[in-house]
Amino acid sequence: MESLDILGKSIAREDGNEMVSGESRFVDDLEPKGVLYGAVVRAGRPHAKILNVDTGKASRAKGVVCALTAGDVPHNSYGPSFPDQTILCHDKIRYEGDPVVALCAESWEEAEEAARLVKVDYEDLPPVFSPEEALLEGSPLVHPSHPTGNLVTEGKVIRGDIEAGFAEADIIVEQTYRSKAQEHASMEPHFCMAELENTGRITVHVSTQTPFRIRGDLAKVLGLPITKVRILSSTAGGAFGGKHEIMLEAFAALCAMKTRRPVKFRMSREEEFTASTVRHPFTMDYKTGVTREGKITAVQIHLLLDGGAYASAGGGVAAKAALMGPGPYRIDNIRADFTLTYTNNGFSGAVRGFGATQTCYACERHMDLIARRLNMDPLELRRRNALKTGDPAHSGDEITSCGLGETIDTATKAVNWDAIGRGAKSACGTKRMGRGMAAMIYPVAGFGKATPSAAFTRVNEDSTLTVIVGIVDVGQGSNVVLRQVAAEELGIPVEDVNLINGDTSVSPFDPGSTGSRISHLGGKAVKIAVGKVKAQLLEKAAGMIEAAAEDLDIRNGEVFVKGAPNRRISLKEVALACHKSSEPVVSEGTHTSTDLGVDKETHQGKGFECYVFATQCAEVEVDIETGEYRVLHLVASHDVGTAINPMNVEGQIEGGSSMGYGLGLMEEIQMKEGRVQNPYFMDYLLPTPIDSPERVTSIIVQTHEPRGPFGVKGVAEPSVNPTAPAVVNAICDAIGAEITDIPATPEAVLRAIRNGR
Amino acid sequence: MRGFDFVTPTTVQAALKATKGKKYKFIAGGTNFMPDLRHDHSGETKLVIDLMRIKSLTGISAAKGTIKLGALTTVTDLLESRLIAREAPILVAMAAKFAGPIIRNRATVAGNLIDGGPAADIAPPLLALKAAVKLAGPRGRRTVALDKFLTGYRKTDIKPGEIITEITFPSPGKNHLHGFYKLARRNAMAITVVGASVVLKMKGGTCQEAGIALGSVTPVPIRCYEAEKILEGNKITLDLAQKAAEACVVVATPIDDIRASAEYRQLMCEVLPRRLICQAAGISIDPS
Repeated sequence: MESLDILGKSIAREDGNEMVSGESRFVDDLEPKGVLYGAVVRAGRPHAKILNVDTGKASRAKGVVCALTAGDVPHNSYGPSFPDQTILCHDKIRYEGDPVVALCAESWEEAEEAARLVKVDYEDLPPVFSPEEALLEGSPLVHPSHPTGNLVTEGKVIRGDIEAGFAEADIIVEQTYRSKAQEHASMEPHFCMAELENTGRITVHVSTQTPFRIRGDLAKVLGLPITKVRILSSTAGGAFGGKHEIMLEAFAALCAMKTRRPVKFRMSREEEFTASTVRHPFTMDYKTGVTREGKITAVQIHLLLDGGAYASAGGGVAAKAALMGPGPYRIDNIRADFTLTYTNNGFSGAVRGFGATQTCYACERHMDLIARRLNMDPLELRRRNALKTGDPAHSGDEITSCGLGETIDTATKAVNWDAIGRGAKSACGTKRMGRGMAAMIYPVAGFGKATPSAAFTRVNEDSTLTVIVGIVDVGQGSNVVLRQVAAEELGIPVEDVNLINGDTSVSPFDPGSTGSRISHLGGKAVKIAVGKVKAQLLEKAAGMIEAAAEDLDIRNGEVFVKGAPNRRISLKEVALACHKSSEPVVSEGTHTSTDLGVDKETHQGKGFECYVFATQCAEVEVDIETGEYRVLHLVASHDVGTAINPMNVEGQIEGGSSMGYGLGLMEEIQMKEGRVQNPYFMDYLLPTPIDSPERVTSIIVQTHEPRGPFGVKGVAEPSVNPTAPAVVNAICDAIGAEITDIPATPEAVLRAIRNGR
Repeated sequence: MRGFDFVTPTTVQAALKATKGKKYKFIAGGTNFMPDLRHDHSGETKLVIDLMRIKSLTGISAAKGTIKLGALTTVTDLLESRLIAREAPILVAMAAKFAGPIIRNRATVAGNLIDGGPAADIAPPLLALKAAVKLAGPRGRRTVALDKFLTGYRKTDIKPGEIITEITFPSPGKNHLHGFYKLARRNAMAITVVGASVVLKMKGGTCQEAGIALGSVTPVPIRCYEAEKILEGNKITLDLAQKAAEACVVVATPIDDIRASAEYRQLMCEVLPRRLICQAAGISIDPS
């Protein structure tokens, strides 16, 4: 392993102070002269034909400048997977949040008032709300033109021989698990502002994870070349997969083009629930064969996903869920099928964890069920099957680094596994103590194809470094991480690295801050680019201090001869010399993995760049009369490869486990006849600080990933995954009964207690 | 949201006078009014009369065995009042579970009651304390017992033009026991699924007088008179607590909603009063 100066240090992020003091400027803080404010008229009904749209009264209302209907959209079709969405509906409504009219006015209030004056005549169509029902012959079709009806897509993971695997088993354990829709709940809702420049270029300021996807999709919708669309991704107040695709950008851009004034659009908190993506509700059938000794011989999984009205990223979510579904265990015989359906519910899409969150829950709950049938310690069952470095992942590719065993050991030790739980009575007679664990495998980037990042660098004449990337920091702290990588590679202080990002007219293309890919792939691009300028600087320095370039290195801004560190020259002098002799020190860096690719029929091949692992353990106290519980201690041990910035890693772990806690215990978008019943934070319950575990211990397990820059893997999404099953397993341990569905509310816990007796 | 006039009278008389003419609304802390406003596109309210600057409606005091809460007493005032901590600690227990600190700073006792909601957290402990509501209006002043004041779902006995001026209750005395429980799906900023309050005046191990009330299981928080009678005049035992709890279940008429099922609420109507009575009386419960 390299000896590292800057990597591994908890360097504070540049924007930390302004974030906590409220000084950060978000899109909504932009108030250019003459700005207009938008509002969207949404269907408010799940399935209907549009008979007539009358914007006459709205257009004449006070302050209204422009009102758009479907006819105003040059190319009214888009979608992250395939174009099944329209910017504005023209013939049909598929869910309650479908947009029909977008308008803008001189104030938010006037725009919202005018939106209420739009008159749309509908003819309601029979709706379909459950995925099971959606697949029945004769069910109402959400997209009548979709070749497979309400089946969006299906697929399977096939590995080994499932029948032979079950034949080897001593017992077979079957159970169905369900999860509900979860909202991203970013503090900052969707916001954007579009401005038309004199050159005809449209600039959109937006809080997004994927500025280049927005650019591409928006250019298509507007009928413009991508050079005429500039996305400026501004400070984001959270994203979590929700700021991943076009939401309001086209409304703002079209209004700006019509009015030639800047136009803002925003989503209300209600619209965040009713008109943007949510986490797919899953029904997960698990069937596992296991020997008496606890060796898993086969696992068969079927996943049924409610995609809602549009496909969004659903196909990828389903496939990743299936590939991660068997969990972090060596299993030679696997069959995992997934079925993604259309319904008239709100549409599901990318959410932190991308499907693997739901299957991590089911898999780890199921592991405890198996352990109970075997009368085996759940820890022992996991240890006996845990993946190791060199084992195949479920897509058959080799796992190049695996710290799972160490995460199991450190997490169980920190929670004091052998001494806690197992239904022990607490001092107060109505409480029972429980312990639970959950392990996890999660892929970095992907999948099935390379998704490279790229970086431009320039060493300035004072030896500071400018790095330009298309990567956006949506709150995860990637800016400081990339600066650390650059500083480490060049051998300069991190303060000397200036990172420029977030402007698609300047930056190299980037697929986006998704798939937990930035530290690994963004880091790789930056390292390669910086490596090139470093080589150029060393070449120049070699001539200046009369040594061979390969004998030189740079540390803390000084070039020195390896083995004779007294022979040195400051990097400033070298950079200045390059500048004076008109030799620009610039580079471009990217890396495209050439070995990625999976078979479409079996999902076998190389799916992902690499894998991270984790184990979380929970100690809980359950009130057996009310079903209420408290998590006394949550330990989260995560293998992240090399931790570039441990403080950032811990932040990700703590934040992710809070989101996982919400999914498992509290959060649930409640649907009734296609309408969200709780589209606000009063009744959509996020955990507050006093609901979260009373104590959280984050443990960073560092492995060295050979494919990663400096051994880096990643941490972002996966920290959400093991929390729900760890806590629910602990509750089940406390009450001696099984829970299958999440969220495990106190009422659900009490029901399990009463049914279990 | 539409515009409206906003006035800030500083006396009760001025507040009552301000109601003349326009369609008005009184507000105090505004913690119900403000969220409602976001969804009120009717524009019906033309005048909002803010009562928060009427000094005579503030303050917590005790005189001749009666505790008086000015109508504008905030939940934070209850939480921080030494007098309340000494005389009626059940209100401190309630205040600590009420919404969150920011709401507690604004929300008033009278506002919570006047809203008439089934989940009004201030109502059950005040019902158990046998509080009364003092009102002032165009036809003068009057006093109504709280259990008579809360008449139905979002309905109270308030008459047009009236405001609450004070809430009073007899001091339950040094030897009283109490219990408060707010069962909700979250530990802060949550609407109560089932609320229960118990106040027991004791003498020599015997319950002289009991106050038991439930929230969120009837259209409006309710006193459980039968349960109170079961305890009164008796030594408290697990068996008696169980009987009282069963009497609580009888008066509950819970509904299914997005927070819990009626079935769960019904179960909790037995569990919570039993638990509170036993805990107050120092009786251990072991359900296993």
